[in-house]
Amino acid sequence: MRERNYTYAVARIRSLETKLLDNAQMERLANATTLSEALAYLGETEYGAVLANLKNPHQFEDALNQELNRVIRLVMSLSEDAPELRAFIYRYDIENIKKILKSESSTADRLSNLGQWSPSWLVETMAAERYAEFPSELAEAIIVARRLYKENGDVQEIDRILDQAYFEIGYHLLKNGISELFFKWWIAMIDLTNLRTFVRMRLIGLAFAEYQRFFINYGKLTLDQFQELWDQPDEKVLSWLGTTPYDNLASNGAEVLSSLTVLEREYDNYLTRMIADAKYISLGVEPLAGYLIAKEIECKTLRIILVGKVNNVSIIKLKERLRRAYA
Amino acid sequence: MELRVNPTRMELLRLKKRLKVAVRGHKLLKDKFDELMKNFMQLVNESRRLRQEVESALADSMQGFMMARAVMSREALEGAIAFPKVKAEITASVKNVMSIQVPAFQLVEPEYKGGIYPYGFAQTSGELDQAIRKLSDSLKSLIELAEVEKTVELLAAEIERTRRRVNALEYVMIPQLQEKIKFIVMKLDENERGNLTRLMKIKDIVRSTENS
Amino acid sequence: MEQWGINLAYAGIAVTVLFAGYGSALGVGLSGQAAAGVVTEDPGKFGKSVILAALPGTQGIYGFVIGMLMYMKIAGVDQLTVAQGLQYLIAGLPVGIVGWLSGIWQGRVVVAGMGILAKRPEESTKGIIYAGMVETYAILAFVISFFLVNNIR
Repeated sequence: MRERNYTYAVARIRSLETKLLDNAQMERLANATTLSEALAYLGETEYGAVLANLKNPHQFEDALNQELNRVIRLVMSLSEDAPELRAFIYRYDIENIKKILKSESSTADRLSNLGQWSPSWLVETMAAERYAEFPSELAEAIIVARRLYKENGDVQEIDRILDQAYFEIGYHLLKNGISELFFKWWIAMIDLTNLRTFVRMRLIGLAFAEYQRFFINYGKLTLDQFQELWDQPDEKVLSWLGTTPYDNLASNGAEVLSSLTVLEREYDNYLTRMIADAKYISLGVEPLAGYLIAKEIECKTLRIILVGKVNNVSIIKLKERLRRAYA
Repeated sequence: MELRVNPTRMELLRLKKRLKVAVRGHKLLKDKFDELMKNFMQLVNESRRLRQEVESALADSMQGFMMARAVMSREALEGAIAFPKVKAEITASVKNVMSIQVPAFQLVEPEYKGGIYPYGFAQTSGELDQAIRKLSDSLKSLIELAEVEKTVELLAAEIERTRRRVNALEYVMIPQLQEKIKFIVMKLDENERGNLTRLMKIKDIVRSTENS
Repeated sequence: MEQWGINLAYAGIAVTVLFAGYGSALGVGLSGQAAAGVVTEDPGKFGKSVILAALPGTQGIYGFVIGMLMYMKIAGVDQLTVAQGLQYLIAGLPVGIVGWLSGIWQGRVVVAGMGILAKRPEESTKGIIYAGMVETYAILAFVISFFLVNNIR
């Protein structure tokens, strides 16, 4: 009865969820005229603590990272390092590993500290090639990526191999995990990622053979389906999308296939909506991950707003990119 | 102005020859100047057009980067674009425009194997694609602009030099030569007249002594 | 053989208190953890959380009361027939078993109720009502056990 262990954690998360920003607050932030106004408003929320010791308003990025780091550590300790949650955090590690592989001489200070492993440990382990310390799938991916990169000097290979490894590791972790919701969520993420890559590569004008290389397995949408649609016009793809579990996306009309901004917003919204089901689970690991993902998306939305404010992006353009809130 | 010149016929001939050369040179330089000016104006227009084009393309691209920057975390974005996938090569050579050495750049189109994007598609934002594409598209114009702007700069220097020469010839050299020639001619005429008077005087003296 | 009657009656008391107490302890354990979680983030909610957290504790009390009742009845009697002893055992079962299960389930309802308390403190009484619905069955079992015990002669 592992789920009983999370009683305290879930109740605590429920309390924390009340402090997440809702859609109205995000709107209000987006409507702020200047960065300092937005920051002042943000200071009244849960972010007050990290914003308080901000020396320069332009360092809000550090504050957001700090907050996210705090939440990740909190959720990880509350869940007693649940393997299911690790799947969500590996993303930051993989990002770091990619960076180290690309530059070979990366120092720890340019790496993200949000991951499972500390940057300095990563740099050291990678330098010493002690891959055995990683999960076997990741170690394998690192070796392959390094070999391919050495062979043809194409940095894209590193990303390709490691991204695939990331989804694969998560898939196996969650398949054997205790949460069906996570597993479904992960598959949805794989499908949506494939869909996004599909749209992006079509917009760029690459051949299907290229897409095949970047395709991530284990999704519900198969490569054959994408192959059939590759040369079809947008309307065809859209009507097909309406028949998949992701018909929500199709309801946005053709824009979802022509504007990556819209697609990415809907991508995040779909996943948020899906994980929001965790709110109805009273005991278990799901609410923890739900909160974690909600917080990640919240930080992303805040970054969009704040970066937009720094660069005087119009409010319309900002609102186009606002993500749906979890709360 | 004091003229230091030997009022000799030799000198006069020499000066006249120089004046002829100077006038001829002036005319040639003037023609060159006009031609340069014409070229220059053309290039300036061209470079203005290119600059506007490049600037708007870069601004677009920067906007794209900014949005990508907003959607992706700093670390993720840095990782994605830290290392280029394709290398662009430029060969630089020298071109001759109106006997001015101007640079000529030739962009060697790189091989776009699998696109120009140095990152994977699963973990990066699509906003980045647009930014990178625009940046990549602007490369050609950017190099063209570099070439044109440098040419304009060199041309401007040449025009400046030519104008100085034309002016020097027109307002200093030629008037001076003319002055000198005039002076020598007058001096020679004066001498001539003096000589004539002297001869007449001598003739008078000789005649009066003959008569007395 | 005459000892069997009293043994069975003791077993009845044990079963009543044991199962009901076990259920309550689990329930209160669950709800206590959840309450601690809420109070960690918001100490001001302690008062309301106590009411919720204490709810699954009632089953244990019912079990205890029935157990006491049985004990009082046996205390004055020297001899019990096997049939009487069996009656005590059976009379204890409703509150024992229902108290055990309802304690656990009430604990879970209370955990969910803590979610209400965390998110909408003004609505937390509704959480108490939901938890109270589980309580009904513990009370019904208690009442039946009570009558059964009283009816033993």
